[in-house]
Order: sequence, then structure tokens, then C-alpha cells
Amino acid sequence: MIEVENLTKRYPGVTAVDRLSFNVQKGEVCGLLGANGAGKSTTMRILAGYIPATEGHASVAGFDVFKDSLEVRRRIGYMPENVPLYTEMRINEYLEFRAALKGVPRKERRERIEWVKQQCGLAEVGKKIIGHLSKGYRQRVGLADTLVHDPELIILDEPTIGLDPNQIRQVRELIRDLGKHRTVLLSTHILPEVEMTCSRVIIINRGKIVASDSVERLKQLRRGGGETVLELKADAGAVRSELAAVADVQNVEIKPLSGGYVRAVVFPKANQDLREPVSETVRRMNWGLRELTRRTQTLEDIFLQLTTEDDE
Amino acid sequence: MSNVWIIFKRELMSFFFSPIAYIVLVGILLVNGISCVILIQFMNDQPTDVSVFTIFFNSFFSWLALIVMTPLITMKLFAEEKKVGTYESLMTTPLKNGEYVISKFLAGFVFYIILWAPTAVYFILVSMFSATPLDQAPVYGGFIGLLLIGLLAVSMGCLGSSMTTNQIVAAVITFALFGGLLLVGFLPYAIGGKLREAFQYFSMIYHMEELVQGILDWRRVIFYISGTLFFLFLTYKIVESRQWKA
Ligand SMILES: Nc1ncnc2c1ncn2[C@@H]1O[C@H](COP(=O)(O)OP(=O)(O)OP(=O)(O)O)[C@@H](O)[C@H]1O
Ligand SMILES: [Mg+2]
Repeated sequence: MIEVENLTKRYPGVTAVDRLSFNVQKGEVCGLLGANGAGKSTTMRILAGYIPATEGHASVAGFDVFKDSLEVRRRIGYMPENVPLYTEMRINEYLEFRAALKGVPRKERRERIEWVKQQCGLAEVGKKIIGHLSKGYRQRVGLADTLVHDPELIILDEPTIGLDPNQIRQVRELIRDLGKHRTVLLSTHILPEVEMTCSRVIIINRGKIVASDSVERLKQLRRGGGETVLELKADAGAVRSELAAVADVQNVEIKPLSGGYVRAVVFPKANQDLREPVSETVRRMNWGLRELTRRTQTLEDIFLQLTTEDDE
Repeated sequence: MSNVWIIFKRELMSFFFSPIAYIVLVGILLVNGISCVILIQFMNDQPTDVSVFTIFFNSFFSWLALIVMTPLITMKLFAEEKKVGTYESLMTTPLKNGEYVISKFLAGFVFYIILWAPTAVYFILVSMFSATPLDQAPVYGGFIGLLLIGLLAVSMGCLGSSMTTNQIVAAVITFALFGGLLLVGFLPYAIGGKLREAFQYFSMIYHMEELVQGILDWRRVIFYISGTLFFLFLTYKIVESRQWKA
């Protein structure tokens, strides 16, 4: 559905997007994850045909976003960051206007609009003036707009930013539902959002892709690690040999600390929780213990690790 | 083409939600009302052969209304949408740049007509209370002049507004463009010879003088139409520049 090859966008002084290459298959819900200024919005604007890339190619549904911009725009529903709307219009008027502009035939418009309002929880409020709506409802109007012409691809730039937790949950559910029948590309800087809504994630940092994988794989990574960390008052050699003998232990790292303490990091073979067998050993050996914890690597850690590596 | 109608409708509607538009409407009514009263008073004191309207359309007041009010109505056309961001959501629908420019221009022009339409009431009043039957030619000529000037002024407004996201800046640019042309229009009165005729070609004041005498010169029509197209073309180029490769 989306093919991006060596996409680069330079502004005077900054390279917003730097040789980006990725594909999104039909039916995927793909998340673009990145910190502020990573280049998410820039990428989406290029895909939506709003601005041209400096270099590289991008195509949507087989059409070049630059050369066949109109064809691409006919096939996408794009919600820009911050959901710009005409505040003086009523929801119904606005959706009617957008549907007409996107070429929904007059006969089908009424029905389409009713349907998207239903989908986005706007059925009861169609007569309200957009300027009087809360942020959450504006977001819904924005979503309804992206759906009104039944596009093949939906591009959402930070669809849940600025919403309260309840609204966030609703919007995520909506996106998940959409993903059942359509291709969705969304951007976010919130990890759990990707986990909850996407089937695939592309992590970008400073315009470059640093990781691109299925969310399942990333979740596995998240469970990875799982080493147990102890601080003991004991002889380093004894600690090493005793802990290495515990079942399922891969290896042990020892670091002497001041005051006769050592810090031991015990790595499991396959992600097992070693806290109990380890504390068993500690008790048996009568070592003085001042800390015992299990480190788990969160997706957050991975994200931070990936996006801060080259920051120095 | 249907896109033009869709955008035009929304744009025209939006004028009626903008306080500035109402201020401008009242402003024009006031200025023209005062102008009318002064003129009628003046004519009562020293009756002349000249029709009230001949003077009305080329009075200081009507030019004041044009030069101040037009930028105020056109300033929002492009600048506001770029600032608010609706420009981005519009330009990612299958809307062509040309359609966008034309619909904005038409909305601005139609609103311009709406602003000047109440002025017609003054003429009806004056002709009702006038002792002698009125000469119609200056009235038609004057309104044709207003339409032609409106085309040009609104197209200048489109250009000004498309150049910035700041409405004040947009108004100032339009004011400067229109004011500049208006000033050039005084030159034929200051110099003679061949140059004089050349400057007449650009003089809105001179054109208005002709029109209120019932003279419709096709060269004038061509001047306004081509000027309008010129400014719309520049506006189009600016809108299109979004898609230029850096
Ligand atoms: N019109 C522009 N002119 C100059 N620089 C720009 C422009 N738009 C974006 N940039 C720069 O490009 C980089 C990427 O911006 P972009 O908006 O794509 O980031 P983002 O990932 O969407 O960030 P955020 O999470 O804050 O929305 C930033 O450094 C930004 O300052
Ligand atoms: Mg962004």
C-alpha cells in the first residue's frame, strides 16, 4: 500500500527526514514512533501529497505521491497534526463539505455521513458547532472526516494527543476497528499506543529508521533481559561460584563495591525469574543482603536505547 | 469545477461569521452615506448640471472606502487557512491549486459586491426625491466601474493574502498594491504629452471619470481583466510553490 524509498526532506539547516525506506502492506496498522522532531509529521505530509520530498520516492497504492498527487489524495484519508477544522461550521455541515470535496456522490453522502458519525460517536451531536466542541470531540470529527469517503489508506498524525485517558481509549479502539478493514499509518510518541493499536511499528529518530518490526517481536524483546541484581556482603569468588551453580543461570557478573559489598548480576538462560533460587542460595550461605531485584527491559527502555544512542 | 462551487460556498458563508466583515459593511455604508449627504447638501447650495453620481463615484469618499475596505475583506482569504492549518487538510484532498485560487477569488468578489450593493439604495432614494429626472448613464457607468475595480482589487487581495499567514501583513500588502496603482492614477493630471495617454491607461480615477460620463472604453475593460488575471496567476504560483521541489 505504501512504498517509501530513500525518502529525504531537507529544510534549511535541518534534515527532517533522512533516507527513509519502508513498506506498509495492505491491511496493516503501522505505527510511526518517534520523539518530538523525529520527522513523523514530515513523512506523513509527503505521503499525503502536501509537500514534496527533496529526494527519494514514495508511492501510495501504486501512485507516485509527487507525480500523481491527485490520484494519491483520492485514495487516502489524512488527519493532520492538531486536527485543523473550520470552527464556525456545524459537524454535519463540515462532514457534508468534506464529503463533497472528496467526491462522495450526492446520493450517498447522507448515508456515508450517518455511518461515520455512528463510527466515531458523533451520532447525537451533528448539529453542534465545531468551535464549541471539546478537544476529544474535535478529534472525532477529524477521524470522521478521514473516513467519510471510505479511503484505502488512513494516515493519522498523532491521533490521541491532548485527549483524556477515557477518550484515548475510545480513539484507540476506533483505530483498531478501522484496522480490521483498512490500512492505517499513524504516528505517535507514546509506546503503549503502538502496542495497543498497531500490528507493526517503525521507530524513527532524527529522520532515520532505527527499528522496524512487528509489535509482537518488540513485545518479546520487552520480556527479554530479566536478570537478577543483588548487592551482598560476601567474598566475590564465592559469590561467583555459588550463584553460577544455581539452575538456569547463564552467567554471573561481579563488581566489587565499597564496604566489603559486591554487586552481582545474574543472567538467566531463557528469561526465567531467578529471584527465588538466588535468595535460597544467599540464605544458605548466610551472606549479608541489601538488595535483590529483577531487571525487566521495557519497550520504553528499548525505545530510549534506540533513540538516544547517537545523541552524544 | 464542482470543487470550485464547494469551496466558494463555504468561503462565502464564512464571511458572515467574521466580525471584520460586518465592520467593513457598516464602514462602507457610513462612508458612502456621509458622502451622499455631503454631496446632496453641496448641490442644493450650488445647483450644477453635473449629476450627483458623477461626483459620487469619483469622490474622495468612494476611493477611501475602496482602498481601506477591500484589503480588510480579502486579507483572510488565504492567510487565515494557512495559519489555522485547514489549508493542509484542504490540500490533501483531490482539490487542484487552480480551483482553490478561483474559488477564493470568486468568494471575495461576491462578498465585495454584497458590500457595495446597499449603496444602490442611496440612488433609489435620491432619484425618488429628485426634482428633475435623473440621468441613468452615470449610475450604470459608476457601478460597472466599481465591478471592474473590484475584480482587480480582490485579485490583489488574493495575492497579498497568499503571501503570508499574517492577516495584517496581507492587508498591508493589498493596501500598498492598490494604493500604488491609485497614486499612479494621478499622474495623467500632472503631466502632458504622450506620457499622459500612457498613464491614462493605468489611471483608475481617469477610468471612473469616463465611466460616469457614460463612456465605456473596451481598452479599460481589458486593462482590468488582464490585471486581474495577472494577480491571480501570481497567487496561483504561490499556492503551487508548496509543491515545488527545494
Ligand atoms: N516547515 C518547516 N521548516 C523548517 N523546518 C521544519 C519544518 N517543518 C518541520 N521542520 C523540522 O523538521 C524536523 C522534523 O519535524 P516533524 O514535524 O516532522 O517532527 P515530528 O516527528 O512530527 O515531531 P512532533 O512529535 O513534535 O510532531 C524538526 O526538526 C522540525 O523543526
Ligand atoms: Mg509531528
